[in-house]
Amino acid sequence: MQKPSDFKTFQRDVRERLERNETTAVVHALAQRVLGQPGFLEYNWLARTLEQAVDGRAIPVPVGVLSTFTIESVRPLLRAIGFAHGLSIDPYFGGFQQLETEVLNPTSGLVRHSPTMVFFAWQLTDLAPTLWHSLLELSGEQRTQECSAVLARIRECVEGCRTNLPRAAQVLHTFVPPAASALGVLDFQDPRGHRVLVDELNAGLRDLAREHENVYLLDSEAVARQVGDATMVPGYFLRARAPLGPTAQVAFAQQYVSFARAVAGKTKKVVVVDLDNTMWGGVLGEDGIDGIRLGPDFPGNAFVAFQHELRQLSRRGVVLAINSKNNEGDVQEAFANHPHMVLALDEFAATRINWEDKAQNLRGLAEQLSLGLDSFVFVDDNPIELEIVQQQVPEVATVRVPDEPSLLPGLLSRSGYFDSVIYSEEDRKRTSFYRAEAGRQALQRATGDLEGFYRSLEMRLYVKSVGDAETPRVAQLTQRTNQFNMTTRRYSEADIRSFREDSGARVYCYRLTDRFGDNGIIAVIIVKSAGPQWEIDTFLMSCRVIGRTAETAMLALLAGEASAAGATALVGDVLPTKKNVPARQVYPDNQFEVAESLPDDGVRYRLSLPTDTLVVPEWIQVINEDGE
Amino acid sequence: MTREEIEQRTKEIMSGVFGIDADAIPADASNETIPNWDSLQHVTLTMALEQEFGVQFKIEDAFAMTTLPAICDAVQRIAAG
Repeated sequence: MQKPSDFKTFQRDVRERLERNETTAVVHALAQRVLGQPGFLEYNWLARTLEQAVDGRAIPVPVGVLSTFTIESVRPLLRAIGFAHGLSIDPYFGGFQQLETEVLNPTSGLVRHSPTMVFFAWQLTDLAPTLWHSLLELSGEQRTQECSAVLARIRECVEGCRTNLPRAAQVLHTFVPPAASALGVLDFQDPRGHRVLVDELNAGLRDLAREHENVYLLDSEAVARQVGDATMVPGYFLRARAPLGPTAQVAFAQQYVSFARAVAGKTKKVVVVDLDNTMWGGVLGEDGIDGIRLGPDFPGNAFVAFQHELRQLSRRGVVLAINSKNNEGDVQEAFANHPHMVLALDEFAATRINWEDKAQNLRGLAEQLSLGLDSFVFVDDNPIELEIVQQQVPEVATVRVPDEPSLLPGLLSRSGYFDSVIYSEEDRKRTSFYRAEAGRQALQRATGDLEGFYRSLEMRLYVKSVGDAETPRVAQLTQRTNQFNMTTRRYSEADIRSFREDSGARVYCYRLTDRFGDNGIIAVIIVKSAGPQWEIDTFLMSCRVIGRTAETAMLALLAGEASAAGATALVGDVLPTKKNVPARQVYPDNQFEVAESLPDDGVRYRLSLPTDTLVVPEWIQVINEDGE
Repeated sequence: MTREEIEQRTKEIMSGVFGIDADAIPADASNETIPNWDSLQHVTLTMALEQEFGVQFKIEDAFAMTTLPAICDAVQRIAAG
């Protein structure tokens, strides 16, 4: 928490730096301030100043907020927190208590705003006053009827929104029981009380979210836990229908932005940690393995908790890495022998433990992992190191370890950086993929010649038409893949589903295994119209497997399939972005010829069919899982 | 807190809520002269004042606080007990 007294100094400093055109540094400083939980009154200024400094370089995210209470005052909070995450959030607030009118009317203000996300901020007291105020007066039957009526109304809103805004993600607030519950101390356990009622309604919301793609739940009770129920001010609700006090508004705005980040596919992929005073208390080189603080007592327990949090992130698909000034031998010994070390060194996909410059180390890590620096979060306790990193590699997001160790656990989860709305089987296994990758790189160095290396990998490529099971992963790949991505079109699960249902389209996914293990689904091809010429709408591949000729195999298979269906050409576009440099030569390297130029330096490539020059490389064994 | 201190802090709070420069807020500012001061922002302003001064307004105070002097009066009165 920053003190209000330093706000004026901060403002003056920012204004001076803006006059000197130090825009990047200013955006960083403003974003850090926003993420450091400033006072409620700072947000207006932070939002305006960030808007000016960011100057159109944030991703526009139109959102709708429909509520049964007054919530418009979150606008500057959404703007400021959004900008801190590179999003320009443009909220439309529905009319007071207008839910159905906004979602069911195809020309409503909400629909005309074309939001990519719609937030439903409702509370039980508004949707079902009887359940809220008079629960004990209802018979069991009446209670059931009231519950069904609430859930039916919510279903109508969700489905209406799906009809009029088919591509919008929806986020539903979950319900919270009243502070003055019907049965007081007995309320939690007695099925006639509010607790069980709210549990049932929330279970109904969970069912809705399971039934509908792109519908997500915002845990209101978790927010109340975080900010304290007292800041969800009942007095204001009664007086002005504004139940959220300043702290609660900030907490909800953070949740909204975390959802927006996740839906926009801006999820960070790598967390790079410093070691001393980050993974443990103290300095290993000075305090020695017995002197560092790590264990069951404070402050060591804070670092133990932080290591557990890192492991949990890694199970969620976040790649762990180390960037530390230390002697590598000391560090190996500490990881191997310290009795309270939670993580093992091999849970980190890559490490830089040396005395080199940390910015340079981060570049090296990005190269080794084949991941963009803008997917990195760097955690360090040293403000000077962080400052250098911000200047040298501004794409990397930085998180400073708080001086007070007890604030360290939970820091990363609160940041929202790693929030994702998809959790796939690949995520669970990601670290092992990267560990296998390190093995491959060692093999490549050992074999020397490239063909020998390819052969020694024993690659198997499984091709399959996308079904229900693969749809989430395929959508996730379209949202996350930046480098080897011809057209960078982002699709939701619903979009993938509509391609699958389109009889003129084909959606293929590819899984690659090798002697080091299963890489999982690593590539997607979407053919938009499979007519006389097959048009490739999307061709992308995970950067994990770039440089192993798998792309040639996929294009050759596609060409074969298209020829067999009677097509005379395969057509694919390359739409350049800042990041898809690895994608640009793929078509020309695989026998395609330039057909025409497209706007914004795009190029359309064409391959005449049938072809006998584009073939699956002999070192890749293909398995067709469609059983044809 | 002196009257001047209350007025200065209130201006800073209004600056934060309405997104305007604190120095540009005149001593007689009111919901007639400040464009963003509508009924929704009034709720936000009231909450912010309560949080910053650590006070709680009565509902009739909250309704009457539509000018800077009226806010300062209310804060002073409550602070005095």
